[in-house]
Amino acid sequence: MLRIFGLRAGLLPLALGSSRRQLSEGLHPSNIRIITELPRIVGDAGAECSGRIVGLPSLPEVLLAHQEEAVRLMRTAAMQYGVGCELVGLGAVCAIVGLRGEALAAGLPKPVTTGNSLTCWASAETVCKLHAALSARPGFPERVLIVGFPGTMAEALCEVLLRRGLPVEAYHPSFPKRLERALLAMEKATGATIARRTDLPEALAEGGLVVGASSLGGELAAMKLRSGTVVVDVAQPLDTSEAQRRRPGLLVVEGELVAMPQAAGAQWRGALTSAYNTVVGQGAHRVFACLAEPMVLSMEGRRESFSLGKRIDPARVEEIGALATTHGFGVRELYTGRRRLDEGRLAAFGTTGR
Amino acid sequence: MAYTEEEIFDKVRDAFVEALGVDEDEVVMKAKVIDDLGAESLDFLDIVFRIERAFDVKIPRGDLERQAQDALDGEVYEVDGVLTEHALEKLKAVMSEVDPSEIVHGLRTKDIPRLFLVETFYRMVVKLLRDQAAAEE
Repeated sequence: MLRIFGLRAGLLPLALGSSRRQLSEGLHPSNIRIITELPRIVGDAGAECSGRIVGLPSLPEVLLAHQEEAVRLMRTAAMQYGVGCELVGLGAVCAIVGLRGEALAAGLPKPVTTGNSLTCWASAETVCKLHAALSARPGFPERVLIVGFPGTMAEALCEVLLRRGLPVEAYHPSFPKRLERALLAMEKATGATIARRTDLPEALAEGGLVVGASSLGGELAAMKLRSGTVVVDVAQPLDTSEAQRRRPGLLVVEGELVAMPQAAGAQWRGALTSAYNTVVGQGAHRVFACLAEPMVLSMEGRRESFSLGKRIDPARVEEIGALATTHGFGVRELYTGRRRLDEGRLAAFGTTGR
Repeated sequence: MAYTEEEIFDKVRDAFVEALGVDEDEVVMKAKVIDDLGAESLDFLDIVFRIERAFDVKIPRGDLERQAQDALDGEVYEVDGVLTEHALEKLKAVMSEVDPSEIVHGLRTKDIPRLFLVETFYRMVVKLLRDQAAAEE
């Protein structure tokens, strides 16, 4: 049984007793906090893993402003608190700083993964489920509009959806050369055509299924969204605003969650300490896909840096998704506002847009 | 360590090539980092990290904005996210490598990164190395 070690940062340590002043002053190893222990998690195929989730003591802006120090702190945390762990998973800001995991991986004698491949898979699954449920609605645009280019997740998700046969539109105000090259390569690889949209208000006025996958969030927050629009919000922070998420007539679905294996049972629920629930938790039955990715790799006995750096490989997205399914992780239900999306509501939305 | 201007540019260019996967010949001084090279927000972090490592320097986040704000001597920098006329003038001075016709009324603080050129980073490094050398004297 492999042990995994999950590192998360951001505001998490606030909930664990560090003051905002302490966090903004600098990066101190003495403030590293254990969020929870994962004593024994069993997958549906009988494989197991165990581990520990640790929070870094800093505000996101401090980590982003001091990347070299942040990488050092992550290394210290992984070495001191990850004794016996054979795989390091990164979440939140930890997966961004230091070349998105590459700098940490280069200086650590253990594999590191950002979890981005399984996050992309979970998002694709969510989009496909919604597309299947909604595309029969009269007047509902068949295409999926992706916002967030040239972000890593937007590009990867675009290619995965194309490979699955969904019609995709890409929004960017100007489509710079590098992005255009990437889209052309996707079109060549899949034989599909990606419609380029440069006017976001115009594209959003058509409604339909919209994916918010920007890197810094807030991309849709100030935009007017047509009633009946369904948004899959993959961004962290989210692309939609709180008001949009509460607005009747709009459906904002969380796009980066997977259900835990049925067999995980009591041991998994035992790991859901108040600290976990406060800083990571999505309830007893679901988990961020980036946290699930090292669990899946662990259950598979795969000691490898599966997702690192800027590029997310669509083939690896499908590979980790298949492995996750084998072990009982999956997008079995959809979630909105941290609650399960009632099938009746989705059906009604699919029929009437309400 | 003292670098020639050419050596500095070569290292800055390498940072862009590695971070963005663009060709060397695309990374010219006047290339716009977002519009010409296709960078997104997180790419800026990667570029800065690579440059900091290459030169063993620390690039302060938001340094250009801070310089422009400092130069305002307490005058208002922005209103509802839009730069004031004074701020625009100071930004033109701080970012003299940018075509001044692009620093115009209505510019929002969140759009400042869109002005960044490869030369912006090059000049930042030159200044940091100069400050570092001065501090060592």
